[in-house]
Amino acid sequence: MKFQTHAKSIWKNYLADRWVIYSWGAFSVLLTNLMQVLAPKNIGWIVDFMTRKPIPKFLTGSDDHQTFVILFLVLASSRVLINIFRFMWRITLGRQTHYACGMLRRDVWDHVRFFKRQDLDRKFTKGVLMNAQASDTNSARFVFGFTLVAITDVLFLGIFTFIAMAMIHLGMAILSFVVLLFVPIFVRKLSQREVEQYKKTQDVLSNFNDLSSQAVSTIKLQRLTQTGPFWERRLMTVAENHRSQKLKGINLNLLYIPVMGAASIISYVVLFVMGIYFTFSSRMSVGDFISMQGLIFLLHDPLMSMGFIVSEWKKGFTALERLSEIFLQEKDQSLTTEGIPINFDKPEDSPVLEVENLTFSFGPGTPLFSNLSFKLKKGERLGITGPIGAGKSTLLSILTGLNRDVESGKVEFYGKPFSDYSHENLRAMIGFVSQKPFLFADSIRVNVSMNHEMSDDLIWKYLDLAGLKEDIELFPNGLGTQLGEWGINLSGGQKQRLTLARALASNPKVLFLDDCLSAVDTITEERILKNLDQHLKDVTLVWVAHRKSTLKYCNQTFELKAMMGAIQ
Amino acid sequence: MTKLQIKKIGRKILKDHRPPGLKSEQTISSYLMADDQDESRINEKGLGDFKSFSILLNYAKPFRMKICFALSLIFVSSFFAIYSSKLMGDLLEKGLIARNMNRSISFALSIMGLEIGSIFFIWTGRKILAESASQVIFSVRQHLFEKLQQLPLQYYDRQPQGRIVTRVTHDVEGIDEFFTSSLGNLISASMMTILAIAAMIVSDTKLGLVMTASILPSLFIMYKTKDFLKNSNRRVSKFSSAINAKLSEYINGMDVIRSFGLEKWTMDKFSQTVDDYLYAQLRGNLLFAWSMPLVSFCATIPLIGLVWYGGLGVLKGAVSVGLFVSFVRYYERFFNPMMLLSREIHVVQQAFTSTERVMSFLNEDDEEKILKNNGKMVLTHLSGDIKFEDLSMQYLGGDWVLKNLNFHIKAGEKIGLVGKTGCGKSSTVSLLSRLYEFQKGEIKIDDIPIRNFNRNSLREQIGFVAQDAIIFKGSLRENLSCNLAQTDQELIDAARSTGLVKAFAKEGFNLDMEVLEGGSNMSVGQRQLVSLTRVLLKNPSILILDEATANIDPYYEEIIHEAVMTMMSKRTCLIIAHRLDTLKQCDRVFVFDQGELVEEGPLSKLLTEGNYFYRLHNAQSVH
Repeated sequence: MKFQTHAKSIWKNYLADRWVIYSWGAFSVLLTNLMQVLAPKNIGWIVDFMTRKPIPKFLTGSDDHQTFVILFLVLASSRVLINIFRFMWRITLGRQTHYACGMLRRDVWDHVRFFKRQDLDRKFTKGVLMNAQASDTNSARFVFGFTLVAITDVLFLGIFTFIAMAMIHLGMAILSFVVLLFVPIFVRKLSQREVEQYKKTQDVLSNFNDLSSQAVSTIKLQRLTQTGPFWERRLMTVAENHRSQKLKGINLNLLYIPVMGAASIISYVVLFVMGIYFTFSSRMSVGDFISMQGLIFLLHDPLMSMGFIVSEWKKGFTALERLSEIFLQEKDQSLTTEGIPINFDKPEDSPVLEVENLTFSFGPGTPLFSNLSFKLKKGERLGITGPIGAGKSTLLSILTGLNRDVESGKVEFYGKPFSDYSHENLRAMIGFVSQKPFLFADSIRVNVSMNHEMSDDLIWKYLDLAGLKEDIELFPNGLGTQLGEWGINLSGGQKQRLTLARALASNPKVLFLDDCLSAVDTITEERILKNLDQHLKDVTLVWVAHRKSTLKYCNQTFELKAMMGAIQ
Repeated sequence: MTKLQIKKIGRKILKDHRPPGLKSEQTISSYLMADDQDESRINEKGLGDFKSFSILLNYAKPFRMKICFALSLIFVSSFFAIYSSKLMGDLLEKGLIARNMNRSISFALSIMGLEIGSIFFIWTGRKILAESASQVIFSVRQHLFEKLQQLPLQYYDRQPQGRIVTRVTHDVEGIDEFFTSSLGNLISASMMTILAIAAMIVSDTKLGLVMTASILPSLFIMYKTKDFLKNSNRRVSKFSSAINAKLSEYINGMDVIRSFGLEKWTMDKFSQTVDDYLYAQLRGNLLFAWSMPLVSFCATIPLIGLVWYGGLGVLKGAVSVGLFVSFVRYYERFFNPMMLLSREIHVVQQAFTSTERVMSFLNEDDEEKILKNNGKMVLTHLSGDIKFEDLSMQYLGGDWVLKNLNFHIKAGEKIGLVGKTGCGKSSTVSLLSRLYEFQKGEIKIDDIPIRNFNRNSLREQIGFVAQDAIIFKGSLRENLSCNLAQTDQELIDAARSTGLVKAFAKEGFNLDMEVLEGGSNMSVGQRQLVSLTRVLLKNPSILILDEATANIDPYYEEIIHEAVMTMMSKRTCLIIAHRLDTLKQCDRVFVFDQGELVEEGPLSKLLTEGNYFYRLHNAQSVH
């Protein structure tokens, strides 16, 4: 209900903000429809003129030739105008479809970036968000533009056609309209089934594509392990499933032929039975008969569209509701609170980071560690060791203030708990290099500088500190080398060093290093450690490492043992 | 990564260099450019539209009777529709204007009959056509999957993986879309157009020709705008997937974004990506806004021409009112098909491109043709004695990657292979499975030249365990064996002996266990054990381990170590390794450098002598 209301308000506000352009669009559609109805009427006049039946006064010229020229000009200019009006609604209403889509797509990341970790892990997993971003925005955008065009079109075209028919013969107009009312009902049902079938086919297809790309990517292994025929069989089973699903969809689509065919036949019955009778009883001219024939077929369009619109509209709003769920999802408070500025004017020996009686556990049960206490001053180095699973990474996430779900105890940064500061201020002061090197699919330059403006010289300096300068100098494009999908895949060690350089470039007061040189060879590692120790005199360093050699630069170390807390 | 790939990427990057701070649009458009260039390179090697299309028709041969039947139904339907338009004119002239009630009624009834027939025939015809088209595409897909297995590995080395994936997914879909959905529309539309033109020319040659000629402007515009429209659509879909890629990237990197406080920075970048997309959409919108009405205006030129010439003709008495009305109806009959053709023209073009690519892919040379020398010997067991005699090999005209290799591995020996990346150890192993061809020398297994063996039968005898286990979605049983003859008990026995059962002790070992894509519900260790069990079930004579115990968490390391030891006993083993621990189990270690065997001997000997291996080991702890 909440989401429904929100979806509606998004739509209403969007339209209200742009009411001028929407009015223009509606006006253009109206004019287009007028011209559309004029066409069969015009042919009727021409036929009447040819068969010497009376035609409206305002179209009559001084002689036959002049009348004909007038009739011709009306026809020709209406054809030109119709296309000008079509152009107009495309660049007014049609355009809004795209603007709205852009807005919705932008809003997705605007909200997702502040989501709570647990929501990202459970409720809004990557698959869910990707789907919302790609397919929901795509369906939702139509209610802001093209569906509105269709509605206006149906409304005006339907009304105008009906009026034009009623002017020729009211009874026949009503009858034609009533007998064709089955069309929207059938079309709606059919289009719903089509959409369902389409979804089914798409699911099969994406599964099929996944499987195909897996089959290609594992080809060498298939060859070595002789599992190729097995893959082939699997692929063919899915291919057959896809074929039959797709065929079902096509056959549903082909059902429009008999449905719309039935509409034509019924229209012919009405036209012939009444039309011929009225023409012979002179209540209708031959030109009227021809106009009527054109108009009755013109009536099919809006009736058919009506069926589509109902399901399009529903589909669009359901998608908008799903997006609203994302927009209304509760945000992580720690990321959005406005904090006080960090006070760096403290005596030299006052602690930068102070931990007192810290206890942490994943849910109820034995805590991962308990009653941990220590102080770190400016420029001090702390080393943390311990076996896998002892909670080293968890401890770091708490010390960096990224994880605040501690059971008891306190962590203070420059004398105040993390919650007193804003996320932005904290992150500017705290550097963190994680075990898993994640890089952005951008150039090396952007990966180092990120949100800071930085000269190339400075970037090279940080790369040098991280022991990566020589490697990158070998790349043909140096700092401009693109990473990710399209670029060179760096080796594990290079990636780790790049993430280190990136952390250095953010110029932090405290730097946390979570076993971030594990894939770097010992010689290079030694060089990097020395660099860091020398150049980061004023920076407080916290190191997590497996290798004892890493820790020789530390003036404090402790070992975290599984389920036992710390031994200082 | 092969040298060739690096070169290619290098070129891509070269195109990419740009001053700092430029908008991301430039980056993406340079990707587009790179992709386009890739495509154009494909076209150079390709078969050409016409030829590939005729190959495609071969796939349709088995269904030709059905297809012809469908086409004739569609033809009859169009004929009925056109004839009914002619009768409409007659109804008007000979019935209504002549005030002949009986004739009017009989015309009306005929029109109704023809319309009903027309609808019925087209519906049936289209259904049959769609059914057969889907069969044709199915057989194309089948051939593609067979082809994947038949192509030599050197083909896969040369082509970026993404491109091959595109061939078997997106490109086939392009053909599929065209044949099963659009083809029917196109055929009925063209038949209707042709028949309408024919009918017009038969009823009044001069007026008919004028009408036909006046279609030309719209055809011209359609032709001129189709490339714009196609490019615009492509641009939009590329920018759209750029947004998807960005979102996916940011969700993956959420931890990094949080830890650096990049929320605002990523929002700016994301907005830029959305703006690029929006800009492409709006450009497309403008293009459609003028080109669609323009095409539809041009399509009304025949009507305007008809009214002018026809109308004047009627005034002069040269044309009858009935004929004029028939012509109006003919026009209506071909106006809609024409619009449809104009809308679907890019689908046709896409289909041609796709067909050309897929057929070129199917036309690539098979392993049989490239590697030749497939022997006839089929074997059930090997003792595993391996000899390399003066062996040299090169990949496709490149440098020699193996030079004059000479060694002898006795049956049951455990050999470690070490060396830097690209030193030739992987090539050596690939040659044993006959994945590539060698140029000089000889390889003998059990003293029989390797070329005498049947390739697949030889591969059956070689068990390969890679660093990354390949796990696919399905049951655990499906993941262990694709040999349906193997019983559950055999599978369980094998799983027990490798320790797989133990590794699943917590979850409870069960052959029907659902395995997720890529084995995401298993740990690295469990995955590796699955692949070990898979190999054990094949009971190979020769075992190749490619750093199979790297990246394993300590808990599983022990189990896996034991499993590997069990499997290695009584088999000839080749172990590609980087870590000393692994090499300790080997009888001898072969050290490769630049395609040559530079040192060999027991590990202890190699480590103490201060030679190449000693240096290699100390210089890098990771390869």
